[in-house]
Amino acid sequence: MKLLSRKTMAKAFGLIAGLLVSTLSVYASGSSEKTTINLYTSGSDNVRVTWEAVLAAFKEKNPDINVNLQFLASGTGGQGGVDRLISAIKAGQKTTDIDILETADNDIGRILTEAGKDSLAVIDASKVPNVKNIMQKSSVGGNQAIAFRGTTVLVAYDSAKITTPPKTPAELYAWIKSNPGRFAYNDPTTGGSGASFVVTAAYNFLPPEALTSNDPSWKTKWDQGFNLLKELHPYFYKASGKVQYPAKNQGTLDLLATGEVWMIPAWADMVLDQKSRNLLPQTIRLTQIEPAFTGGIQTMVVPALSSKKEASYKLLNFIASAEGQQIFVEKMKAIPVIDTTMLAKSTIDMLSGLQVKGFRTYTIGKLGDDMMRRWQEEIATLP
Amino acid sequence: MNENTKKKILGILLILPAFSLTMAVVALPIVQAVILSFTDVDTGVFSLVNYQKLFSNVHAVKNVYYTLHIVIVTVVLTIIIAYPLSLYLSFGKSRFARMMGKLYLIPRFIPGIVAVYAIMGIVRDSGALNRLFMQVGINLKPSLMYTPQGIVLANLWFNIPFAAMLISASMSGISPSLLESAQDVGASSFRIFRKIIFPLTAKSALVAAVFVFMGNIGSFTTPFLMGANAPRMLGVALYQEFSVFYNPAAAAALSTVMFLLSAAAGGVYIYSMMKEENWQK
Repeated sequence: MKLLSRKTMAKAFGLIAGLLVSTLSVYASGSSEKTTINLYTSGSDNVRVTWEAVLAAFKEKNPDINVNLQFLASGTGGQGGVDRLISAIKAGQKTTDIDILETADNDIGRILTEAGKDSLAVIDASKVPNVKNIMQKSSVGGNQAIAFRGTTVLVAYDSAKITTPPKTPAELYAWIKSNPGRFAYNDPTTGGSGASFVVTAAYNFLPPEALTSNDPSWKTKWDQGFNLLKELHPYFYKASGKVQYPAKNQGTLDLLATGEVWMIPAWADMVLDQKSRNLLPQTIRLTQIEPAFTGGIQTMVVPALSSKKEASYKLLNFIASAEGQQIFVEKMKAIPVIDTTMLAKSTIDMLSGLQVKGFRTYTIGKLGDDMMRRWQEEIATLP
Repeated sequence: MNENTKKKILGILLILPAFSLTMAVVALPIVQAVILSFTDVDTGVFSLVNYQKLFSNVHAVKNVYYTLHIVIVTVVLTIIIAYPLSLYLSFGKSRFARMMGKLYLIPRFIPGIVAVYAIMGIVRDSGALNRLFMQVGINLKPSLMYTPQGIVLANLWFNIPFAAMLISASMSGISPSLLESAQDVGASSFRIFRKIIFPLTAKSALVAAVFVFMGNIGSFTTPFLMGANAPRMLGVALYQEFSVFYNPAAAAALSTVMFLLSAAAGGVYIYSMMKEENWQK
């Protein structure tokens, strides 16, 4: 069966080839004037939306730099920038197309141990002048990383029902016991706010250095914390006649929204964002206890192998500026890493007077996995 | 080369891309996972240690029983409901039956996660049902969240249309003349069902049961969002091993066990197909 004559086929091929050549040449001539860099990042969709806004504002000021956003949605199981960078360096490649990369502390730890201490460029004020504005520093990355936004787990509570929120973990645990069924933390294997509750329950009994150690000997000292979790277990939120730890960070936020519980540990950015969209009642407030729940800063790193570092530094300088920080606060309710007095009042108002003095970070490596397993076997199985 | 051989080669060439893709991204990882499950990760040699750990852990064994319990209840209830529904849809003459025949497939077109959140929104203790009953002063708490019953309820929503689709397809294959001639010689409706309809459709009901079983043994979304913290269905336990505890070897052993459970159901399916061959001779 012949649908097309040979002549027509030849014509069609010629046309397609011509189109290809012309588009490619336009693309090539366009990029010869511009520097194009690849920014690797991943996370929930709000991360993508925020980055798109940041890059649009950056492009307006720097028309000669083109930033490709390489975004990988979390949970898609793909290979992120961190894995790709490590394998590229391990494979002995001399250059990389990963020009700038968003990382958390444990990512930086992995890169520096697996790919070598010199695998990331040192970033200082001579290259990125605005770095002097930044008040937070990565404990793992040092001057090879730039902190650019933070978030932390705080206590979220309904101010219509609670007038004096707890100020310390001891007060919080006492409140839980005197208000049975009105507090919930989510299944820690499904979301970071519940995990923070579990981790701090154990590590508040341990010296501060334990929180940044992956030495397995600390495992034997978790008993006091797990006993506390067991003791509190009967006082948590109940459904269908049994204490339940809802799935995901959103699971407990939903309970707070419906009024089934009055207090939860929650990510600051999630609460502020959902309040601003009226998904949470306006009576929901945030407060920090002392010692705090854990949180963290997100950092940017520049691989030493990248050949376009100058363009990346310009982007970093923009991110560290008041204008750049403003976008992260407005779009994802991130906690800014620069002094808030540098930001417009309307921007600070979005943080609802939230004052975060510092971030209590934890980098316990593989111990975190073991802790989750122990929670699953000892706490989840409680009647 | 004659025309016939050419056609055969062309056919093979056309299948080759899809075939190699399937081999590379489906078959190969399965083989790798099975090998990994029989490997001691510390020494790298063949060992049953992953399976020993799995079956000596009381919580893991509970997860297996819990999963089988939910899946078997789901299969039985699905067929019990879908079979009469198919009968009604295939042989019912009323306008309502015809309308139902068009509507019953709607759940197939709703994404799983949307449906699960919708079901949760209705049956949770502060959900739509609760608020509806509160209007007349009754504080109804369905108590379905975090229970096996809740998971089964959501499973039924997903699986009844699927099973009914398979069963009613075989029912519509029954020639009306067969039924009419039976009626003509005075057979009662029940006798027609017992002697003609049931023998001709029992097999597809079995096929539906097998597919529902296999589809639910590894289900994730529903038990993840609606299930209790422990025990967990195997799909969620597998996710935890792999993505939370970062224990690929244990995850491989668990997925091999799930694969064997599905294979057992598949065996039932193949056996029933073979039997048909004999019966037809």
